[in-house]
Amino acid sequence: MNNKEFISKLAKRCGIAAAEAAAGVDSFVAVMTERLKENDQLNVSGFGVFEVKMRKERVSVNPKTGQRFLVPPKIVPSFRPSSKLKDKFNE
Amino acid sequence: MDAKLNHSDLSALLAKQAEISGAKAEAFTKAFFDIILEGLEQDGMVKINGLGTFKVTDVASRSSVDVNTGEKIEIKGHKKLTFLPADSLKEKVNQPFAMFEPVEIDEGYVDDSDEPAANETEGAQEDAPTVEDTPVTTRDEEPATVEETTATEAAAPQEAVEIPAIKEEEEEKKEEEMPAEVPAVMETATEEKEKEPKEVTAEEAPATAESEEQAKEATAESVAEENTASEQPAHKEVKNSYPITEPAPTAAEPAAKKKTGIIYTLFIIAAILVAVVIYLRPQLFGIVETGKETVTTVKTTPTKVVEAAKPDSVEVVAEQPAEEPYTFALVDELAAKSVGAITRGDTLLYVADDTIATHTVAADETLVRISLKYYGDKRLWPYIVQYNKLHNPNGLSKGMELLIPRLQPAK
Repeated sequence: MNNKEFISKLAKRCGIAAAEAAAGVDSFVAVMTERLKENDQLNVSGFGVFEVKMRKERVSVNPKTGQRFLVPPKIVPSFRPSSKLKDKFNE
Repeated sequence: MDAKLNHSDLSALLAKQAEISGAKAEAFTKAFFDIILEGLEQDGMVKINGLGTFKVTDVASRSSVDVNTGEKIEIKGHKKLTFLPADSLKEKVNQPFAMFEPVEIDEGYVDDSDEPAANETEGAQEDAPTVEDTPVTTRDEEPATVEETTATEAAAPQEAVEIPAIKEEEEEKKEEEMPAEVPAVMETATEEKEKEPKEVTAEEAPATAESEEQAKEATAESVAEENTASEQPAHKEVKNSYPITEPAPTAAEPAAKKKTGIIYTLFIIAAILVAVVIYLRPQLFGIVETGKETVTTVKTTPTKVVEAAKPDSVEVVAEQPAEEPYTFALVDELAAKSVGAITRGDTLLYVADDTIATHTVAADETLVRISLKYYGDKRLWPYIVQYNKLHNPNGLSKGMELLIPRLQPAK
């Protein structure tokens, strides 16, 4: 399911126009992004947790050239599915 | 900030952001996550622009070990929900660290401490021209040579003194004490002493002149001259060695200067007394002369001059200072041959027995400067290197903390 299919389905479900649904998705993603930027944890019951994680700096080696790089630290968004969701796919 | 938001909080925020009613927002977010779940069940993946991709992936079965029993177990293959964040989301979240970029680490960096150390020594040679080897080897060689030189130096004056000793016991005592002290003091004193020997010879010249006026016999005079002459080379030998020797802490200088001054005057008085004694008992002269010839080789030149000038006593006195540069050069040569080849920058061996200070290196400081600051001498920096166990003396960096050892002359 791609973005387009997702929006059309969402529009149908909520009884709104596709454009409206698209705008709604955009603003919801914007809200989530904003919260994640603030290091907040987004807990969606029955679905999972969106959060950010800190990755420390590390040294990586290019196996071909043997060049060594110091990769800087970074913050990455992550998602942890709820146990309910996990089980759902393994039924 | 680090808050935990739930579904309703998100809905409220969305209502604010999209300017819709709370109920509508709640329904929308619920539908949002429900459709994601449905999509995952249908296709196994859902992509939402700006957020990322949810995907169901297969995990293959693998064997593992039970941590409690140690038995081999097989973990069955299962499905896993993964989330791959969109680039825009990653970028926005990583904004605090956005300025960092991967840096290539220089592969060619090798900590080669030996070569820079040699360079540093060369730099130090400008200050201490005689340093040729690395600090460690120099230190090992030096103590022995220093002892040798001082031994020979000490021997010369003492032997010279032994001859008059036959005549007067009191003098012997005085003089034997003095030469023993002289080399010791010499080594600890600084350049200022270079002036002193000149003063001494200047004083000696009138002194001998006086004695010569009293004594009209030529033989007695020559002995007197010889005495002074034999004393002078001895001084010079010592003199030549001490510009290379280690200057002592500056506090000791004035005291040492005074002491040597006293010793020199005593020495001159003793020399005059010897001259008088020899004048009074000329018959002993023969023994004296033969005895002395063997003492030092340097002595021969002054003796010749004196012998040539024998008839005229005034001339002898006049020639004595004129002869000075020559004997200087000669002694220099001798010193270069015998000692110079082995005598290095710091001829005294020190032992670092205690830490006197902790020095924080400033921006443009060098070991030489630090050495100058704490010891008043540029050449003692290797001790700081040794004491701090520095692998690379060139690798001095700002803010580095160095322990400054207290240096005691080794026995």
